[in-house]
Amino acid sequence: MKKEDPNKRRKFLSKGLQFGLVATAGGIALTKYLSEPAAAESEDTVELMTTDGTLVQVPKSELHDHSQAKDGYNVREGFPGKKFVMVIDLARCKNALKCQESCNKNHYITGDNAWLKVYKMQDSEAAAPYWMPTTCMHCDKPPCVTVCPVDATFKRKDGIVLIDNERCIGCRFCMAACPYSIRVFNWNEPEQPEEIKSMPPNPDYAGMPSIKGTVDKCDFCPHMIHQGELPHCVTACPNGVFFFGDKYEDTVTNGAETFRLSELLKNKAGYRLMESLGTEPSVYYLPPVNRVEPFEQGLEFYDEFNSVKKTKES
Amino acid sequence: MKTPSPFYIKTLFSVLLALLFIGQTQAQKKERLRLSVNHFSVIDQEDYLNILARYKGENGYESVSGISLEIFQVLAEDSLVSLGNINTNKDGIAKFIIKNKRAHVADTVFDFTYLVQFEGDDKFRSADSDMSVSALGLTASIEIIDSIPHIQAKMIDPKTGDALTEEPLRVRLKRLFKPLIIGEDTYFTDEEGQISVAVPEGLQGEDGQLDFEVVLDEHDTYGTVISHVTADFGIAPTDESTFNSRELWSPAGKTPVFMLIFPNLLIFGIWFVILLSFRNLLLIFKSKNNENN
Amino acid sequence: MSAYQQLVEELAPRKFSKAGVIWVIFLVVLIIAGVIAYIDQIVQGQVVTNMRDYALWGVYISNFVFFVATSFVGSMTAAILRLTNNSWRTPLVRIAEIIAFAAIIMAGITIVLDMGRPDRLYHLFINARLQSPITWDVIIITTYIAISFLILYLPLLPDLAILKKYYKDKPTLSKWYGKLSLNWTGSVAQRKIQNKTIQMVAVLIIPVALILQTIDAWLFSTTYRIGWDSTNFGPYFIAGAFLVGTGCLIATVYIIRKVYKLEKYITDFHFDRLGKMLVLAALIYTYFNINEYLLPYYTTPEAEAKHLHELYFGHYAGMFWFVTIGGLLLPVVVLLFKKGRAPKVLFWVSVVVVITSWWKRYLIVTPTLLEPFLPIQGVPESWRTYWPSLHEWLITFATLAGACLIITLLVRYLPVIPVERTALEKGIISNGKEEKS
Repeated sequence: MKKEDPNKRRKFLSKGLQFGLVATAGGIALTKYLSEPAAAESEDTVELMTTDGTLVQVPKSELHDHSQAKDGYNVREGFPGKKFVMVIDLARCKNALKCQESCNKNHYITGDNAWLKVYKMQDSEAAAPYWMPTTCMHCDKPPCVTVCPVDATFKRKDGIVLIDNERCIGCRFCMAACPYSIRVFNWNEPEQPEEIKSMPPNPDYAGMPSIKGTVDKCDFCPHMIHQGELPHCVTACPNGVFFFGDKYEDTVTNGAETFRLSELLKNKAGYRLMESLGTEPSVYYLPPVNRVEPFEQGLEFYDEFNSVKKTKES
Repeated sequence: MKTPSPFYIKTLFSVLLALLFIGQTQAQKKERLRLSVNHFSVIDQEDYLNILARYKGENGYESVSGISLEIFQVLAEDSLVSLGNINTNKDGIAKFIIKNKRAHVADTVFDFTYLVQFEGDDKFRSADSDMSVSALGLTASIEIIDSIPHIQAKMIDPKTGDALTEEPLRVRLKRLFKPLIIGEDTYFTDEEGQISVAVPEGLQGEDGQLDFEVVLDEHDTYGTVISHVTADFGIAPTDESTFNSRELWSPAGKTPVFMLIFPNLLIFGIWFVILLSFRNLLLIFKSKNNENN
Repeated sequence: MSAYQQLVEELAPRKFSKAGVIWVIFLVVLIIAGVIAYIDQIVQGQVVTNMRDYALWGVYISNFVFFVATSFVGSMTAAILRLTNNSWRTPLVRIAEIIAFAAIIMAGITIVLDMGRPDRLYHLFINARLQSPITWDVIIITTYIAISFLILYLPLLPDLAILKKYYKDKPTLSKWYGKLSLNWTGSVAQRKIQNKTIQMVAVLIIPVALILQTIDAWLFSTTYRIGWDSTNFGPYFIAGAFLVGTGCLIATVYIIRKVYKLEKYITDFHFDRLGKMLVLAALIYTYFNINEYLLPYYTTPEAEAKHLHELYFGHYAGMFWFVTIGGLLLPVVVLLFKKGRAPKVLFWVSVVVVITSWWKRYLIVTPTLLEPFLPIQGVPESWRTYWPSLHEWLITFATLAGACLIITLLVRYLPVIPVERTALEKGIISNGKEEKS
């Protein structure tokens, strides 16, 4: 954009004031933006929590059932014509844990086990250690969904595996079935803020609220995709470790860089976790070669016994 | 010493003055709002302003959400016409679509000048920022050269029809989140104001449709200008989803057939015998009654 | 008194002795404590257990597996007896049926105790997915409860009619026995239907019992977990069920014989036979244990090797060797000798077998869960180990007490040895009519 000229600025200001008078007198048509709030005020409104945690007044008429949104979106089918995939570049991960922090905050995770974890890994003694973030793999052959007795956890057309916390009976078979140990259980009443607890549960907004006696996990943030935005972990990462995108577009992005998925996986020898199990994860990894930052840097933030920072310090 | 010394009075006075001053500055101590304005022009579609409101907080720049901004067009002799109001979103960003703009004024350097103004509130002082752009002729098309499709773009000054040379252009493919760059990062227009970029093979798009955009990025004179061109030679992705097939992980309504046949045969077979047995218990109970009769 | 009258007198249910009353009170107290603990678990959530995201199943599940296993032999012995007309087992068969019935009822209850949301149990019926092993389990347990009831109840009809007559001086009790006997008169028509039905159920119960044990094993082997992902698991569980069921049967028979003074009917010969059965069970189970724990040593992936090492020498070594020696080696060695099959020795061996069998299930469930594919990180250190909490112990003991109470009450009110059949076999009566002596 252009550099501001301070003199011009001052002139504009005075003109602006003049204009204010002209506008009221002349009756220049005001845009909708001005008239809308007045209309909203006269209507019944409800207080809603937005994804960033601020409360907004929404007219009741604008509320609609999440599961059958107006555009034919069905929470059990997902976004039509999409197949979401993630690529995690291990060479870039320095265990900054911003992903985990953002995930915990935005999903109101209050338990002791985060949905997104960064493992300290070393495949064999002679090999180099590395940091490995794990999300739900959103497997194409999900063993967790296979064993669910009541259809509470389900695989959508767009590849995302979600949980209906209003149906889950808490048998934990899905947790036993998941080889990646990514599912967490609400062992007690989650200590979430009241406004979160009073929200109607929706699989698209996992953790809002979490329900005692049911299973939770990483949801690939459909609530962000809905707004055309990337999942929280992707945007929070300072090193651009996480790439996210639609496999049908063959494109993944970390917000700053965008690659063709097929080329990225080919050029950097991408792989999937425990491929031999045949679960066909939707999450790909790029090997930790030519590290951007040394492994040791991450040790500073590494906490073997903690993945959810508690707000109330005692 | 009954009367206070002049020095004492002087000190008292200056302290009072200082207190007054501090009080005043505290009342005035509002943050300075910074507005960044970018102009976007999508050829044949819309022009809009992207406005980012920030202030310098303790931890660097922080975005300011939910403030109301008024947008004006600056006409000849600095007279203003209001184009409307908009609020910043949670990230402090507002996208203002420019409608009903006045035709450009010939006697200025730029064709259009916009002013974004913030009136000020409890926390922030009033602020404004302006943005001037000129109209640009940017056309994009698809040409097949040696049976390889190319994106061709031409940049001209619409007033004179002159080609604009040595200007940086990007060619991108529109994607769900962020666009995918085609070819090199930047191409410079030649003496005819043109670029030509080969389209790589195997690009995927819904129904084979590809939406390319040629972009002039944050130009000093033209702002950001985008020209779209669509093509249908993309590869339509095949649906990999097993959603509609009968799989082990399908919902109850789509149970695999073998999984329906064998368990149900067992269940009905076993329960047939069990129910038969219960009926026989009833028969035993009844047979006694028959004997009595 | 005729031989028949004497037989009825000896085999009719008896009132509780003082010890019996204390035993029942003891069981009821345990059950009440468990119910209180369970209510607290409902209110507070399963945070009162020591299960967490890694040890996601615990003592409830291993206890459930124990009950399912215990329910096996009761029905099997009964069925085999009915089908082969093998008369030596007549005095043992009803006790076996009672154990099976009690165990499968408690298995059904125990699995619900493990659920995070028991209030949503109805989803298992209205939203059932046939692909889930839990659904199979729900179906097979319901089926087995029905079939265990039938195999217990059908042969009881004549005995209930006998008790109706026997308790003539107690009208209420007599009336109840009469009702329960479905007005049994022993007519040819009734006998015909009864025999036919028993035969039918006895045939059916064998595959159903095998399916039950197999599905129970599949709850584990349908996952990828190390130590569970085994094609050996079905027969392994069947063999284990055979062992624990036989052990339970021997221990219960011994106690009932002692309390009811049934030495005349349940003789040392029976114990000798039962002892041989236990050896057979232990040998079969040993075979499957070798398959499960020794063979993998030849081609062990890293994770499996670690799992086995933990069992042999590591954290679980004490329990593992206790279970292996007490549950496999001890019965085989002791019971191979005739003296080892004497009632008292056999009883104590059986008790050890039952206790080790319970811990065996604990060892099947817990170590595997604490050895996931990815390392345990980012959770409190206490999550890396598992030992049941007070709540879990109270609830578990309550379920065990519940099974004991069901057995005790059934033994109190039903003739534990089939009266009519014994009379028939001893030639005291024929065709249900008393012989003129």
